[in-house]
Amino acid sequence: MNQDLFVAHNEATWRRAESVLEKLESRTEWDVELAELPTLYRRVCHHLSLVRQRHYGAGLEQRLHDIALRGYRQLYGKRPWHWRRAANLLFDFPALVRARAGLFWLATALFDLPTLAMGGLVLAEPDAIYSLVSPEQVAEYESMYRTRDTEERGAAADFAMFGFYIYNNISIAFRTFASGLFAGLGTLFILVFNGLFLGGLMAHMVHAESAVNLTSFVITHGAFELTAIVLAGVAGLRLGGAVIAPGRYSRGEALRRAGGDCAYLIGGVTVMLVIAAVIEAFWSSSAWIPPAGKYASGALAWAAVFLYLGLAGRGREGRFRDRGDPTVEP
Amino acid sequence: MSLDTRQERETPEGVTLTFPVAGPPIRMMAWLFDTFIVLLCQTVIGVIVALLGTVGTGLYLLVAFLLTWFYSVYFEVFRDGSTPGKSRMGLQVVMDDGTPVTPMASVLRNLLRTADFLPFANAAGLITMSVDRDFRRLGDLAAGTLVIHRRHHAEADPVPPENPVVPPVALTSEERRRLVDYASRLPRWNAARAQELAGYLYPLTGVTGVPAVRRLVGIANWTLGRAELPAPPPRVAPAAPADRLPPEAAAAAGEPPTATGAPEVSA
Repeated sequence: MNQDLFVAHNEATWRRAESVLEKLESRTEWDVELAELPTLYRRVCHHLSLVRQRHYGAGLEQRLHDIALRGYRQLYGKRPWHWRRAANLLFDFPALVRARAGLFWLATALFDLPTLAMGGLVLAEPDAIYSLVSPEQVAEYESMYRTRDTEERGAAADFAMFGFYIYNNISIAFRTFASGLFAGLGTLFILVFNGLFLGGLMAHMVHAESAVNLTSFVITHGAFELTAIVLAGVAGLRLGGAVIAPGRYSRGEALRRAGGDCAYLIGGVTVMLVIAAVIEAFWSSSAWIPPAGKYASGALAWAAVFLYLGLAGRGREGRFRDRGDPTVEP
Repeated sequence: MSLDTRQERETPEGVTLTFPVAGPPIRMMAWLFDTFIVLLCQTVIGVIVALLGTVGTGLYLLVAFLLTWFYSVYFEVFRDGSTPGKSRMGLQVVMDDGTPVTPMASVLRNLLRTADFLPFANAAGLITMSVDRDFRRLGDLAAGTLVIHRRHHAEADPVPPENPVVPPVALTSEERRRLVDYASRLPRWNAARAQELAGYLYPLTGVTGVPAVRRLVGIANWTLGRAELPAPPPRVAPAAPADRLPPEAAAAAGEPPTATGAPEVSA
């Protein structure tokens, strides 16, 4: 069969395929005729093979290739999310954290040990804080927590701080994660440095006699914020781990698998940090709540975070545990 | 193995689809364009919310956060893989099997942009792209995505009609295809170029210049299986075959549409 006859025979099929694809791509109409797509698509694929085998013109091949490509994207693309899967994420996230328990404890140690060490150092030797933080910065922090008790700031200022916490903290978490790509070194540095900084300042405030202000301020949102930073560290270390020790996979494949995990982790981290920002802006800094109330809410928050991460979604860990299979859908 | 920067994927139906992957310079331009838009939006919004005082500061920081991290994600997920910058450059983000980019992959590749930016000015991403066969930056590697050139759905150019000519030797299907491609592209070249190309096939046509072009178009028509052109309407004098090329093809073949009398090739 020569080219013109071939085109004349099949032109109607191709036009039909194009019109069905247009409807699907614009997502304006969903009707029965869309069910034709698989048949039309397979027919076009068949025609494309014929065109190639018979060396018909490049223009015709290009046209059929474009139709086949569009059909392929429609048929084999991942379906958009169903809301039920979003609910599943609530349980998948803690299960994934437990499946990566080793990395979790490693990240916790990388953050907490420097905190304790620097805290102890500053308690024993108050001037040690200036080796890490400049005197001006220290003075700034001191003034922040000295005034906390006496002045109530307005709702507008609360909201401004909320914006700041979202911008600043979530960006830090994202960077903690992303810099893990360099063999985990970036994550390591950020975790250790933030640990030193936090430990040093906390210990310093004990000397500066604003200890109650600071601890009562930090304790509630800290449950979400500090845990989230550690979890961002887990994601970063997971990326770094894939680069350093890809195991049975090529580095590219290991990285892709790690990427699937990390998307879950970072999603969870983001939600936790939004919760932390709400608490930090509208609860932790409220002067009308007595410290005792904040300590109580803090205890509640820590318990909630650990119960959630420790118990929610039990039985789902298996999906994430084995490095070989089944693949974690990104 | 080809020098072209194309990636091929075989579908379950057994056909190979090709994706022209996009290189660093054009992606850099798209990135600059997007960065410019983000900065512009931030400035404009900054000016507007400055009027709102303290609440405005909070709003501004929220917007800045969303723009910084989710500008690209929004467009890649809801605008078929193209941010405004990419769409301007005709680029598109797809999964590495050619299917539309998933939300998670988009989030991942855009968060890892931070890593690609390090230590300065996208250096890490640029190095990775230069080393990788598919020009993937670090974020693309982890998310399993590709950036490809978006193709326009162009209709194939028709082959200009001409009296079919049987080639003097048996042509392979590959050779016949080249002749059809030549004929369908004829309207896009100027006359000199069309004749120069036809000149290379002197051994096949035995003529040069305009007749060679016409003969090649004739062979292409024969390949397509076209019938003899109908005889032109009778005039005072019998019209010469040269009238048969359509105006644009005739122009490409180097003669005014009214030219007559060129010796015609025959089957």
